[in-house]
Amino acid sequence: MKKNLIIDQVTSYHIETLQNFTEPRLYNTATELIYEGQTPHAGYLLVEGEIHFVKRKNVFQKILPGTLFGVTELMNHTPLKFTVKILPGSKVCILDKSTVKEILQEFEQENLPGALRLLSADAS
Amino acid sequence: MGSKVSRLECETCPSKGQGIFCELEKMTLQDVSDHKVVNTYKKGQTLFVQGNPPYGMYCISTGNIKVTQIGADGKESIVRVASAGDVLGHRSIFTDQFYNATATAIEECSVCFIDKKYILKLVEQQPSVACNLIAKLGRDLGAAEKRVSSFYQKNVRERLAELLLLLKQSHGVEQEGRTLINIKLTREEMASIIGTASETLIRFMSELKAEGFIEQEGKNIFIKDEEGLIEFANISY
Repeated sequence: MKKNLIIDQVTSYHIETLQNFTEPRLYNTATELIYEGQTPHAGYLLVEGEIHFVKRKNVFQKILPGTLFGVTELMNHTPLKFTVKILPGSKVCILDKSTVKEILQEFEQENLPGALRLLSADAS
Repeated sequence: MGSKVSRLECETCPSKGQGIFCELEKMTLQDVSDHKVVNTYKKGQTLFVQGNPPYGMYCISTGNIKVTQIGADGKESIVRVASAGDVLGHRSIFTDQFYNATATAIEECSVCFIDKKYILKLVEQQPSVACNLIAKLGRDLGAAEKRVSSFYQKNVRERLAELLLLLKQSHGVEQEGRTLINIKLTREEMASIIGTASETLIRFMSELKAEGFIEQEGKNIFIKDEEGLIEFANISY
């Protein structure tokens, strides 16, 4: 995984706290969450199941539960250079722009990683 | 990760004047512009998929999108075709049910996405958005009722004539005394809309052509005799 791919591993404490802002949603059908060249509609925190990063029909990264991605791209209106596909039966917390803004406001932060760090501090 | 893309502002949207946000004052409209996510969808790419959770609404800036449902037998039927200025996914926002249909681009489309929380806030604060959404839901319901009654009361010939008239209304472009239906629908897709097989549709298209109601040039369909088609469709238009 390249350094500039914006994904973060989060703890079960983070997941629990983020769930106060947005409940996990079940995807019944395999779906392209984000197509290559598109800006994500939300950041996604995978809670259960599997997500694939796909480039030229090849899966180059399998995302496992506890991974948060897409938030920075959403907030900066930056398109992805690969397609993100969610597999059936997977659950994600959907962090849309309004939710991200709520979280940032709550923790008085400018970015989600900063807010997550504060969350970790609270947990310790 | 990629470079930032140029932003499509609501103020300069090609569909300005046709959408549910268009009556908002400049500052609020700018806030919508800043909040939304704009994307281009290629032909065949899906905006949302039947059975998945909704979390926002889609506002079409340019292009056409087919809304389809998969039945228990696995067959896909087109429920409607959404065009520039139309919104999609609005019903699921308020019902909180899973999407009951799939939205797929039938050509390159520019589509804005606005998340559910923001829409609900707008509905609370901006009466024009609430009224436009209610009007949109009302029109959708009216169209759905008309479609159901058409399936029960009309034969395939009449349903085809009715579809052509509807497409003329939504996508018609006047060209030298006739009207081009300016939408890229395959014969299979048209057949799916009126609930018949593509072979049957092609046969009845030939009949309409022989009667002089329509003309075909390659994949393009032209309405030549609207009055005749209205009579043929057995509708008061």
